[in-house]
Amino acid sequence: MSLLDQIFMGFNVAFQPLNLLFCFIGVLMGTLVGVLPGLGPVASISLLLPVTFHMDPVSAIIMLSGIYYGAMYGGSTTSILVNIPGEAASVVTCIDGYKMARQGRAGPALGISAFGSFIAATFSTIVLMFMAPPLAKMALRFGPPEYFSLMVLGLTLLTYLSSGPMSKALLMAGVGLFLGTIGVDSLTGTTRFTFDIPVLMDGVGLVPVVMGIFGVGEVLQNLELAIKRDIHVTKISHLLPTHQDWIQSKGAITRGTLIGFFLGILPGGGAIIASFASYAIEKRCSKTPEKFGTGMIAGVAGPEAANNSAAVGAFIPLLTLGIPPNAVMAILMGALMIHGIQPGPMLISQHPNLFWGVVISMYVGNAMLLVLNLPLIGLWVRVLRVPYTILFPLILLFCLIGSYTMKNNVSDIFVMIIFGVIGYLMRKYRYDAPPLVLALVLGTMMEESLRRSLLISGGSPFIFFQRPISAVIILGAIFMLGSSLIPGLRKKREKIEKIISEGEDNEKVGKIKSIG
Amino acid sequence: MPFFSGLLICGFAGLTFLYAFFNKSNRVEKIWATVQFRRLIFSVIMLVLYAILLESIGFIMDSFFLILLLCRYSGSQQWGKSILCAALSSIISYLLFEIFLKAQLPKGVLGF
Amino acid sequence: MKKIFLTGLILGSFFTAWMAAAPCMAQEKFPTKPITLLVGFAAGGTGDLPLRFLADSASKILGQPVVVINKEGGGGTVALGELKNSKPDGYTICFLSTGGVISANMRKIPYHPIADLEPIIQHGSSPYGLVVRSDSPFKTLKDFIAYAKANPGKVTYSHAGAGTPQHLVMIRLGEAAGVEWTDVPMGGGVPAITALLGGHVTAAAQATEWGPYVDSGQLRLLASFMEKRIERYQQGPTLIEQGYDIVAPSLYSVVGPKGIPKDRVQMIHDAFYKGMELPKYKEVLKNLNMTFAHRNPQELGKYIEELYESSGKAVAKIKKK
Repeated sequence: MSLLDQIFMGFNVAFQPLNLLFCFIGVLMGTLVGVLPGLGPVASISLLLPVTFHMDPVSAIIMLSGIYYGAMYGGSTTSILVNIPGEAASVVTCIDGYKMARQGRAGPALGISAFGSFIAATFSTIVLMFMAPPLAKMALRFGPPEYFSLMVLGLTLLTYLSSGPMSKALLMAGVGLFLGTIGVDSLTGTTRFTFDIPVLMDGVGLVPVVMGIFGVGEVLQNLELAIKRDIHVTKISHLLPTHQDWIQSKGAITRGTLIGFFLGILPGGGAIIASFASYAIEKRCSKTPEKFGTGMIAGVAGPEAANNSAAVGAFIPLLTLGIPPNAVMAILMGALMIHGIQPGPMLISQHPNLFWGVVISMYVGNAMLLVLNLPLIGLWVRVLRVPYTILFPLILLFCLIGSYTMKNNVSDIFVMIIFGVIGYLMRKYRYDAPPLVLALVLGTMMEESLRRSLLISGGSPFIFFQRPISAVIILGAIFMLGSSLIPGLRKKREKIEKIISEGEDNEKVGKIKSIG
Repeated sequence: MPFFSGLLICGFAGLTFLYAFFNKSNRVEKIWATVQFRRLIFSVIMLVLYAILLESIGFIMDSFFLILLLCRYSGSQQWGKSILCAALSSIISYLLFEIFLKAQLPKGVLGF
Repeated sequence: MKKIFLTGLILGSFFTAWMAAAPCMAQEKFPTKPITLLVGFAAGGTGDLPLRFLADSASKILGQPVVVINKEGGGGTVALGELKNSKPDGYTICFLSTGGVISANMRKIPYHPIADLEPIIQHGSSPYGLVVRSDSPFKTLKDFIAYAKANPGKVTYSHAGAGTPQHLVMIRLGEAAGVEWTDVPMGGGVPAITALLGGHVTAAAQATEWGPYVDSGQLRLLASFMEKRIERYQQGPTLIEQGYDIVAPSLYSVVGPKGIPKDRVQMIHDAFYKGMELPKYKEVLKNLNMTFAHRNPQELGKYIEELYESSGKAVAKIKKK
């Protein structure tokens, strides 16, 4: 059967009325899951899995994958509107997206993230169709040493994430790394910093931490002053991105798509790191890096494109090798198995209708998402007009539900509240949250892969330089670190700091005035 | 090894803290001047109470009271409006999460 | 002041209503209300899916719903800790896996697997084995061990995590054969296989995550860690056949808090066992690469005790290292 025949078969499968319906239900639910803070795709797909038992396996996978990439679309909404990441991969979108919303540009921000997501997802699906098997083979060459180097490279991104003084960003990264060591050490099985509290054995969850620092922290900060103040007083100018916005985001979307796709294929890489990496790259490529953090549209377009193409890329190792690169894919693998389909190297040849049906349904689903999301922008923007005194209890409620439903455990709510207070204090003393989140994501993986590498090499640290892929990556990291230490660049940094601290002072004065 | 890396990270955090501490300590005092502590602390206490009571009294009840009290006291809304808000949001979110998204929200002793 | 009073009134009246509603359960026929089945793992895994099937069929037999609630955390120990604190009336039961017993020897957990748990039924097990890449020179376990002997410290193998049954088997095997090999815990079954596929380790000791690659000819099964050869993968001889008296423990079971009345234990056991006899259940297990296994309350209790003791010895050896 030629490739063309197979693609035709895919269209046949994807356009069956029932599959179209399930695809629609999937992306609709995904949008919802993405928009609602806390409840991420992992939790909701695993909860919906039993519902699919009585469905045809192809329809089931079409629907469940719809939830996944739909959530990536929806995740940016709350980041932009209320500064709460709808799911973890949208943390960086908060930085510039929320600033845009405060300037009355919520519409273009939402618009560019929808278009960026669509472009990224469509492009990656095309690559997925033609290149899946060789790409998957490449992903296998990433062993523990390669991961360690990749994580080191990831940590150098920190330099680009902070808007304040470097020392504070590094401190936050240190805290993030420390939080990552809490829990059962997966290599030896001993517990670290758990104080014999059972829930801490799994470590501090990313979702409660993010919900707390961003969501609860933000609400508390608004509560301290505002009584009847609406946060977004500015008029909303456009609902869709302007021509100017497009010019600024074009490059960001392209780069975000590529980096996201590559990181998505790697087991463990995933959408979160992709979005952070894309943000750092945009800041680095930009002619005006000092403006990042003040509402740059490229800082929204890039990460949103990246997390969507990472979501598509993640399907490659699952469908071609049977290796799930992230938690969502692991659940999809379970879904396949319960239907009697063994995911593995023979999946495409044994079940071509499944592979091609799902791939083609991704086009369909993405088109549906775009159609679904664009009219919603107007509605979302209107959410901002709800008086804050009514909005804030709802935000808190969603954060509470989100952290509870992760594991159905009340302790995660306590973790979230504690980090809410910490997040509030961080805002008061101007500590940035993104370095903490990045370090928390990378820290555990970095430590584990370091130790695994050393086990493999028998304790020799040269393993990172002996293996070609690892060596290239680690040299890249050294280069990144070195270049950010060059005095010229440093001066630029100081300039940024100055501009930002002045900006914040003005904002502060404005706030106090509006109260008085 | 775990101990060693943990120690390393602790030391790193401590060091950067000291660095940050000595570098800037001039603008710190002002930021607490305009804060309304009562409302902040009230809100945090409400969240903690919510977490404690969630599994015993069930999601709907617990959320209803949380929203009601937050609207009324932290948000200074009127009673009527607060009750309406609380009832609507707890029921709608229950339908959304429990029925549509199949999340397992706690039912409490009364069975809902 | 008035506001605070009013708030207090609302909360107060609410609490009295709650207190009044709670304690009206009398000892009569069982079950008169839904049974909660805690599962300490995420929905959709091998720990969860077979039990959802059995809970469904048991609900029909018992006349009351058996509700599965996922309380993920600590390798299943969070849910078991919660179980220990629940009333031993048969209305709260919980999933217990091999890890829930072994981890008692590894770290402080909130329950004791023998003193705090009431065994009810074992409903399945999962087969483990040792695999290598098919392009490696090892055709049999003998080759593999000979190579390890000749090159001490050079052989690495991946597995899901420290203290897992397959890890303990490899430690005992290494000791019995007198070889030194390095283990690389990968934090999960699939990552362990991925590391082998990518050629980063020499071998992998895992449950049937290797299945599809043995089917496709990329990996070779050198040994089964079970009592018998694995039904679907007959090519792998057991360790016993190859002269090592080692069997990996594997346990998927349901337990309650200590002290449930014997007749209720029996009722729950019977209701679950009826579901296990359905052909559809065997199909579920097959799809998940699990094997059918059953133990009644007494047998299960004995098995847990043995597992606790034998794993205690093996873990002590890991810790000494």
